[in-house]
Amino acid sequence: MLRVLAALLSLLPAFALAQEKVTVGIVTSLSGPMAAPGKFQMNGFRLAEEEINSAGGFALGGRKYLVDLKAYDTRANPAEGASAMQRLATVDKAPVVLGELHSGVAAAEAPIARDYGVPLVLTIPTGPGLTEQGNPFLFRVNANNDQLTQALADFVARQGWTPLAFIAWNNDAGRGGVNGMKKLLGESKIGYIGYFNVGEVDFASHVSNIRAGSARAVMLLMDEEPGSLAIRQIRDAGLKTQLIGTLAMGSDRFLKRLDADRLEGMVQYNAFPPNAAVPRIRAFSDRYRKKYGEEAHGFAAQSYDGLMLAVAAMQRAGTVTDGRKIRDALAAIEHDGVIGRIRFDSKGQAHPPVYVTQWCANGSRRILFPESLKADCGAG
Amino acid sequence: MPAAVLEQTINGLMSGSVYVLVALGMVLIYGVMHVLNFAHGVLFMLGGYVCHFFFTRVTGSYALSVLLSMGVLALVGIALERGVFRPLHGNLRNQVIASLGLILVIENLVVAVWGPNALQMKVPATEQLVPLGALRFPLQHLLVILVTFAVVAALFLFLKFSKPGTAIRAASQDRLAAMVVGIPVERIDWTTFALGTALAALGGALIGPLFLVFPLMGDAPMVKGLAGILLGGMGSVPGAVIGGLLIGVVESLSTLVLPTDYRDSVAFVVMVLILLARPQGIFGVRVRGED
Amino acid sequence: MMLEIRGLNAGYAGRPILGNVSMRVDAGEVVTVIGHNGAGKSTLLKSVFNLVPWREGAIELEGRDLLPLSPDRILAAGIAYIPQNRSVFPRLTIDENLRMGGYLLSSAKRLAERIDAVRQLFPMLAQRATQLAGTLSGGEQRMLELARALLMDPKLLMLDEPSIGLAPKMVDAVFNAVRLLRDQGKAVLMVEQNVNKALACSDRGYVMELGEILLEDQAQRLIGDRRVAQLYMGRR
Ligand SMILES: Nc1ncnc2c1ncn2[C@@H]1O[C@H](COP(=O)(O)OP(=O)(O)OP(=O)(O)O)[C@@H](O)[C@H]1O
Ligand SMILES: [Mg+2]
Repeated sequence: MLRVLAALLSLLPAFALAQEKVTVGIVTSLSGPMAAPGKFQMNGFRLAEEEINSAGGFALGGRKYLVDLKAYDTRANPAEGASAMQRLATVDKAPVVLGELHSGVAAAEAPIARDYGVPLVLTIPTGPGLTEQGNPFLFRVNANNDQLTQALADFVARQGWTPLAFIAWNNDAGRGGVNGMKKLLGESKIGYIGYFNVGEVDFASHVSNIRAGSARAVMLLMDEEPGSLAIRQIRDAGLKTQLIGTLAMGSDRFLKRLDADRLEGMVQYNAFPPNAAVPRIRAFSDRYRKKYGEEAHGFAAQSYDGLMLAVAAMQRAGTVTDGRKIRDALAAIEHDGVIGRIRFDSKGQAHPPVYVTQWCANGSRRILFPESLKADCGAG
Repeated sequence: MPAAVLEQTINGLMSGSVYVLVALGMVLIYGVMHVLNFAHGVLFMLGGYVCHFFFTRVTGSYALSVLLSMGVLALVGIALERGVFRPLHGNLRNQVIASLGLILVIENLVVAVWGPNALQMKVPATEQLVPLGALRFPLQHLLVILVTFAVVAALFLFLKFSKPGTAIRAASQDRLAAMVVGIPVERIDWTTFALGTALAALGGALIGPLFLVFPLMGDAPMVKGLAGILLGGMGSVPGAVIGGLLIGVVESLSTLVLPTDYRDSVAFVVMVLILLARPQGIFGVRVRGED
Repeated sequence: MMLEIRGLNAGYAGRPILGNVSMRVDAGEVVTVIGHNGAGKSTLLKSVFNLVPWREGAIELEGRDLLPLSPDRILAAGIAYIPQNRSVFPRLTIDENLRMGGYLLSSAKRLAERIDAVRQLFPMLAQRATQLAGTLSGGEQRMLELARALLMDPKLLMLDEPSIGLAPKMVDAVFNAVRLLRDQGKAVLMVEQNVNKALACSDRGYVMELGEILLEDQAQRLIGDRRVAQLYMGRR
């Protein structure tokens, strides 16, 4: 018995020597109003972590390092975000922090990242202002609202879907989206604009106003849950208007909430068409489905790329402790991710491709934009 | 334009119906126990979840699930009356604090059991569309209104003509006098609580299929229901009905002329204006001999 | 003996009011309790009806122990009680008030019989069956309370200051009603400030001060008592 124990004990330091661990900080929503998208974020991080570690870790200076994710639940609450960021920098000594979903919370975390010299890599928040603060420690993998809006405005103008009406969340994202489209399309191309508050579920008055107006398309600037209700209420009221949705509305999950009949013809912008005939996307979708048993989500792809990118930056910087060197490596990096080629501009903003997909009658999706990837039903 | 007015009136009647179901329970409990149960909104929400549970896990029958949910919430109401409100009887401040605490407890409990995400209840009546002139509405939408009207009518008949109903009115007008004539007031307390929470559950169960079941679903109905109660006249049952419906219809119609993000404020502006003109509310009556 | 109280101590949370009270009401007897404000007269009646938080001693109705009974059981046992403050249900009609008076009667037929019986005593109640009780005058409300208390056909009525706040004409009507009750064979235990008129229609009386019984005597003798006259009738 004692001999066995001694043998076991003698193994321990050997393990520790062979593979060291790097604590990578994660700020996300495990509970609260953003818990659902938070799950996709964590799925992406976990998949990347698993792939790195099952390969024995990543190589740096002749050693191998395992990734150890230290996740904090910031609950869409700026105070929680700030305190988590502080802890990660001081207690957990994470050399780099990833994640966040909520632009307001990210805004509270970013200054702390700068103060402690720990780069913060955002993978989901879309508030355009975040990367306009001149904060050298802030990076964003995903496209921000301005970029998304620009792509969508181009598309809408080309289709001639104006005047364009809106039902939008009464918050920064919703109002910002509406104002962005207004600026790009011109005031005259905008029809009815209706805002609703978080938790509101009755869109009947918007439906009524849209029916009374002359809009050729309705843009739904909202998340999955209100989105499914709005579409149901619009279609049930007999409105045939063209619908335009967000990232959240181009997934099989979303289809399950509604049905192909109500969705047919609707378009939405997307950061990640999981069925596109692009090898890197196909491969990721397959791996994701194997691990989680469902269709890959854009948030997961962005977050997966975020962690892979952070690891590449540490390798490039030759350190797993010096946040400043890792920051410099991030600023210069060029990474071929699942969502596309990621390179940060001088503000720390990446410019991944934005897609527009459309629902087909059979519940599959086609890619309409960008032209180069255009593909028929089943590819979106 | 008239079509839009009709459409918004029907929409308003539907949301108003939901406010009425919440307001009725609150006003009945307030009448008998003199406590404003601020947890009524989360009980409404719990009713939605329990109905969802029965519908998706136990029986495929929506109607049966609604009834079961009302039954379960009636039991919850009795437990709350026994365990929380009766021990605090006579201490209004502590009852209010307790009801606020209940909001947190029930909300966290629901999130722990069912998770934070909205749940869907796919009942056939949401898929069936009923044409009404040029408009069409999901059958469920009209059912909410019809069921509420039927329940309100039944409740009026019960309160007006039945012996237990008259006893509830008596106990809410003068508790001591009720004891003096032999009405078992503690039994009235818990039956009223059960009735009130069952009505809230009915609201949550009716609206769930249309608007999803989620942890915050009771917040707006609670606040609007309370506004309806004040508008109708604190403590008045017909007042709660008229007040709740009025708030629903006015806020819906307001969206024809005002931006929709003013909708919530409209309800409260109307309430304040009417209360300025008539502080006792629409049905608030002052009878001699009542303090 | 109708009602017997022995060695009763009673009071409110941590505050004893009644100290060692013993008294009785015989069958068919009208008994009045007089005493200054705050003496504990109302507390005495409430104690009998189990409406105070703390009681000790013995209370018996025709030998039956009342202490463990809840108010509705005491009412069923044969005691009706009319509290000092108005106690009609203001937003119920006269008729509904009467029907609530018979809440404990499970037979509809019996209820109808009893309502008929009290309407004969108070014809006004039949004429205005659908009027809201809150719109009645103070005297009329008292009459409704009396009628309602008679619905269960009690053996003993406890009246707490039935004449308080009434116009002189109504005061007389109330005491006439008490005489009527006695003629019907009911026992009455009443608390009154209108000492003269109350004792005039009583058989016996008690004087209560600071929660204790000071004096007990025939009503006629109490009217003649110099101390009673001085203390409670405003005569020097
Ligand atoms: N609910 C209560 N809680 C605490 N103390 C009370 C309560 N009710 C009465 N008391 C106190 O008990 C004492 C006796 O009151 P009680 O009402 O029995 O007097 P009373 O003789 O009926 O006076 P009155 O002639 O003014 O009606 C008073 O000091 C009163 O303040
Ligand atoms: Mg008194």
